[in-house]
Amino acid sequence: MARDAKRWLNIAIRRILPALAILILLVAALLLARDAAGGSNRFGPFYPWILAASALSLGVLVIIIIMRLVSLTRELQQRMPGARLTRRMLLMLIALAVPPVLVVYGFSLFFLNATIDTWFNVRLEKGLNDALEIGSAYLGERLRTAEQGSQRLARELADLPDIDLAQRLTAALDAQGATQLTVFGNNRSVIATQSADPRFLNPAYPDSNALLQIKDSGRYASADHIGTENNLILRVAMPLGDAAAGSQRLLLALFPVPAQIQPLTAAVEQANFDFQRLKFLRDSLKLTFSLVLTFVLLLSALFGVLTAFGVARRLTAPIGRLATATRAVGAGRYDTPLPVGSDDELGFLLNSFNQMQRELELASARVSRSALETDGQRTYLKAVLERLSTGVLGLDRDGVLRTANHAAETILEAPISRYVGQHLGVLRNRHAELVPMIDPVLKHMREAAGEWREEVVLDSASGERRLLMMRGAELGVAGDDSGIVVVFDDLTLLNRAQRDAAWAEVARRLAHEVKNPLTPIQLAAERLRRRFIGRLPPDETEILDRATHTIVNQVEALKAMVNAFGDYARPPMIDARALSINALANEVLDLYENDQRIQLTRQFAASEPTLRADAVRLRQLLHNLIKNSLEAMSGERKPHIEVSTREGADGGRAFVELAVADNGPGLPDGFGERWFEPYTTSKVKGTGLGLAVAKKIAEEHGGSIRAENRPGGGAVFTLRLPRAGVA
Amino acid sequence: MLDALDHGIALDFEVVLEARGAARFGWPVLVDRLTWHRELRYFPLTRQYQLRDPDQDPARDTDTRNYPARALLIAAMSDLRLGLPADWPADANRVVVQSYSLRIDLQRDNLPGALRLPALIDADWRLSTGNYTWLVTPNAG
Repeated sequence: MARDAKRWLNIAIRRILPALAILILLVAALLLARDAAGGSNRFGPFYPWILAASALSLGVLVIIIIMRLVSLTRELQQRMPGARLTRRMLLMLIALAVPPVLVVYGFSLFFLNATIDTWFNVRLEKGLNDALEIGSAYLGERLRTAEQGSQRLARELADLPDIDLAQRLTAALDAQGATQLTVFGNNRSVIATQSADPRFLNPAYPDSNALLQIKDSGRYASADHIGTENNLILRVAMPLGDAAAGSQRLLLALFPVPAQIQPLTAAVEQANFDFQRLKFLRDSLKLTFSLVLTFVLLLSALFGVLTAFGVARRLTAPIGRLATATRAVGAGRYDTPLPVGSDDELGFLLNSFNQMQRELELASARVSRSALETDGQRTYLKAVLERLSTGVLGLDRDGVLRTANHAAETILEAPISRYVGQHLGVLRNRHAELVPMIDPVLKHMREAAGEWREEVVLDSASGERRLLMMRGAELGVAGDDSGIVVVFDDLTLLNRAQRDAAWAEVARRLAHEVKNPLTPIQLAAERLRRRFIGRLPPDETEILDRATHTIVNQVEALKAMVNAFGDYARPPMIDARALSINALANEVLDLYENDQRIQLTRQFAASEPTLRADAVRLRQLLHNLIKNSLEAMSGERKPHIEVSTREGADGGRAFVELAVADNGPGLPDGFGERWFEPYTTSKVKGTGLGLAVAKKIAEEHGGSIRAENRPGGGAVFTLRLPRAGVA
Repeated sequence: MLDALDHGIALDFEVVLEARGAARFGWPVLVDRLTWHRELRYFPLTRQYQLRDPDQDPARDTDTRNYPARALLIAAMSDLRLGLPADWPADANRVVVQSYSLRIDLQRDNLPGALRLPALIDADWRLSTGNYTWLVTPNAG
């Protein structure tokens, strides 16, 4: 309903109002012109209304044009399709329509004024005035004749009694050729009257002006007009007898102007009348006609502008719709079919556009499906890449990094994705630790090797040495400039696991193959001692003693080593129970309390942290760390071991830390994960299994162990175990 | 305007007499209304000014007056005598007349078409006496 009302309002404003305004202006101009030219006053009472309606219509037209201009300006500002074309066409149409109208207006005004001025010819005016003078002279002559006749009649009637006057007037009527003869008595009473014309049956007493003239000059004579028509009558009035002697009777005589003269005098007077009237109305006529012309000019100009608006809109509307549809197509929308309203070239264009739009829609649908499939495959590949534990780098022919998966960043411990779009050399310059890995890639690219593989060792920023297996291959077919892909795996863990497994196997074999013969060897050596010491010569006894002693000691050492290997190789069997780390540390440290060689310091967390762990294994771990420190400080004068505990959280996961610090020489150069492998030690004595076992116990508890140098000298080994305990 | 009269343009004056009763809804009730017309003309042939009643039948016209000078015409206008009908105001029996008002206006609507537009604009052509009102005293009637 509201939409209908709005539509009707729009139609009223756009169609009905302008048409009504133009009609009113047209009618007003016609009425004004008709009245001005014809001298009619038929529409006189409506003049103010006509002018007000005209002004209102002009206002309406101007407002409608302003509204359309504002609308066009808004469309231009919003860069609506077709708006600029509409403006251009509008200006063109106005330029075509308005100047001719203005020229016609100017010339019309000029010719109008010139034509009106030519009406008032001087000779014509003189001729009319002369004719009027002739008429006036003729009337004056007739009036004098009438006056003389009336004077004679008045003298005759002066001596007659009132009763005889009527009869005498009847005779005099014909004799004088009068129209009416009347004798008034006292008090303006009619004593006698005779009339030859039925129009003059009622005699009118002379007015004050006539009476004044009679009083002054003894008579009144005048040619008077009767009614609105130019009918003339000669009126003569004079007293009967001597007025000075007190005569109260008054003769009034009316004489006609001859019938053949009457129309001539009337025509002369009317012509002069009209001429003088026109002369007086000259400026008014000019003003009125100018106003009418101005109305017509405004009507034509405004109608021209309105028509220009309509024509421009009508012509540019399909082009505007076409531009809108083109934009829509450009934006990928094909749901705007254009209405084809005509069968001309424009209609053909719109038809072709619609057909093109349909074909584009089909093609776009195909492309969209293809793009969707491609996107799906790309997403799938990306997801696969991101979930790969293998690092993947994609490079173009110029060595610019195009893609890198998450595993690449994890393995290389560098924000590789930040360098996507940059040359690999930039990454090389900013991350020197990656040089051993990047250089081979660049080298193979330079050599255009099709497929290659290479093992590289990286020293990561954390100091850990990593073993990477890289494989490179060109992408795409021959001649295609697709670049290369480099995939690499971190073999460090695998390598370490393999070595751990190997060591475990060695340990098992040692425990099984080596430990078993040790006891018989030791027993045999002791039996030799018991049997032959004292029975042999002293020098030989001494040799035997030393030899058997050495055998027993070395066997003990071998047993200790085999036991240590046994510990290392033992499968993880954790008996986890809740325990206090402080209490466990105290328990172990108490064993070393009486050792005069070292100074022990305890820095335990006041919160008495607890965790679930295997107390036996943890004791062993702590023993190993303390022994490792003691061995490292063998050359120190004042060896000092500080054991501390603390609790904390990392990434929301609570942990407990146990640290064993010493003031020894610190960690050897190049210390890393490898030092936690079996049989890796810098010490002359020792099996090289202490740290390996410690690490194994930590890992069995889901924790880790790390070593670092202390700022003031010495090393610290820190065990971190999760508070949640062992799984 | 007098120039227009001398150039043959007839001037029509309307004399309006209104009788009004007591106010109703804040506005005096119009009891009766009487209008007269007097037309002034100039005839160049006889060089006479004419004062006449345009509503009068020419056959029975006894009131038309002719004057040889414009001053006499104007003097006659200032001494107009207009007769009231005996039964005027017609509604006086039902409504008590409390006031009379008289107004004389130049009828611009009767001017020639060409002159009407300037007459609308030019203040000289807006000739009106305005309303002359007098109240009726109870014992005046």
